[in-house]
Amino acid sequence: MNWQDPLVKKFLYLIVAMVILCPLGILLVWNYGDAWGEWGPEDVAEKVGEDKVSGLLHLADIWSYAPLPDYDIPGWDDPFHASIGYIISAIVGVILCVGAYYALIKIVNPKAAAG
Amino acid sequence: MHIMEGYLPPMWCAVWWVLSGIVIAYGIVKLKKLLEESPEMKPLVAISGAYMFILSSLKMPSVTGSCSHPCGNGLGAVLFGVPITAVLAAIVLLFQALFLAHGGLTTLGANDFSMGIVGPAAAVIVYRLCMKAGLSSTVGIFFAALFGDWLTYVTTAVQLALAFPIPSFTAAFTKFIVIYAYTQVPLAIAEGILTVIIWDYIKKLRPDLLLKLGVVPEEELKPYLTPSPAGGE
Repeated sequence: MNWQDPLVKKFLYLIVAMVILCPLGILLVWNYGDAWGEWGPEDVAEKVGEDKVSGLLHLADIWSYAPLPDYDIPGWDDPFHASIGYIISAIVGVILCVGAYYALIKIVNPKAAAG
Repeated sequence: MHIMEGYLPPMWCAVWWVLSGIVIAYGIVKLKKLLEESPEMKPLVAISGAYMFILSSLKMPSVTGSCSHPCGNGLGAVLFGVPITAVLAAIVLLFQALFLAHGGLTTLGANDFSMGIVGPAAAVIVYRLCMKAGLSSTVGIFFAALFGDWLTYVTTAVQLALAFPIPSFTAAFTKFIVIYAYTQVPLAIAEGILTVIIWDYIKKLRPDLLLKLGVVPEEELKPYLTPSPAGGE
């Protein structure tokens, strides 16, 4: 990445600002429960009966190795620690995503990646 | 909006995976072509993807005492089109599923279909309509981000209602959409404003990229493209 590109510089400032501000989101919704559409299969089980979703409850555990589940570090359950966990998640996520885009660019077009 | 792991029955997981997979595969081909023709687009591709990640990770309160999050898919859609945005969204959703337990692997196809395909398609259509109507690209990008966000959520409501049509599809869809409507409208407006800020940065700092992508008419970019007089300020 060309760090001297004025667009990249400006965008980095914006990303940093958003990363710092992102805990505001969880602090403001601390007791709100799940976001819209992000209910788990256990919520469906409550409404339609567990017998109808037993297969789904099994599917829910297909991947249980997320290092930062729900944008948090396991055990950091109070608002202060959750905020720090959220910031760490945002930083890790942005780095991973940008890294993945560059890896993809390198794969699909090695010449562009070199440029 | 990210449908959680295990929420969709396997049949629906497969349907959405196939539909999204086709668009993602085509998106990779389009991305290769874009970078062959314009290697200088690299930072813009990464910026659009990172923007999508950070916005779709922000959990925000809404007026109804529930919460939701923006999508950030309008920017990439207007710049690069739907197939490339589907690729960017797939990477975002994959990392969110693997590292953050947000969304899921079984539901990745469904989530990409809403956030990476239908939402961006709406954004592109709305942006083009705004440009045809003679509005500025800034107004266009605001409405593109707005409708990109809304249609993402409408699609998710359709997916949820198809998976659980209790007592009927229409009743389930109405139930989902009513909750969504109140929750998402203010957030989509906020997303539109933020996208405008980024768009104006791109317009001022790299108008050449917008011109090359053909998303903004040259007349609108003229003030930014004019080289500064010799000797500087």
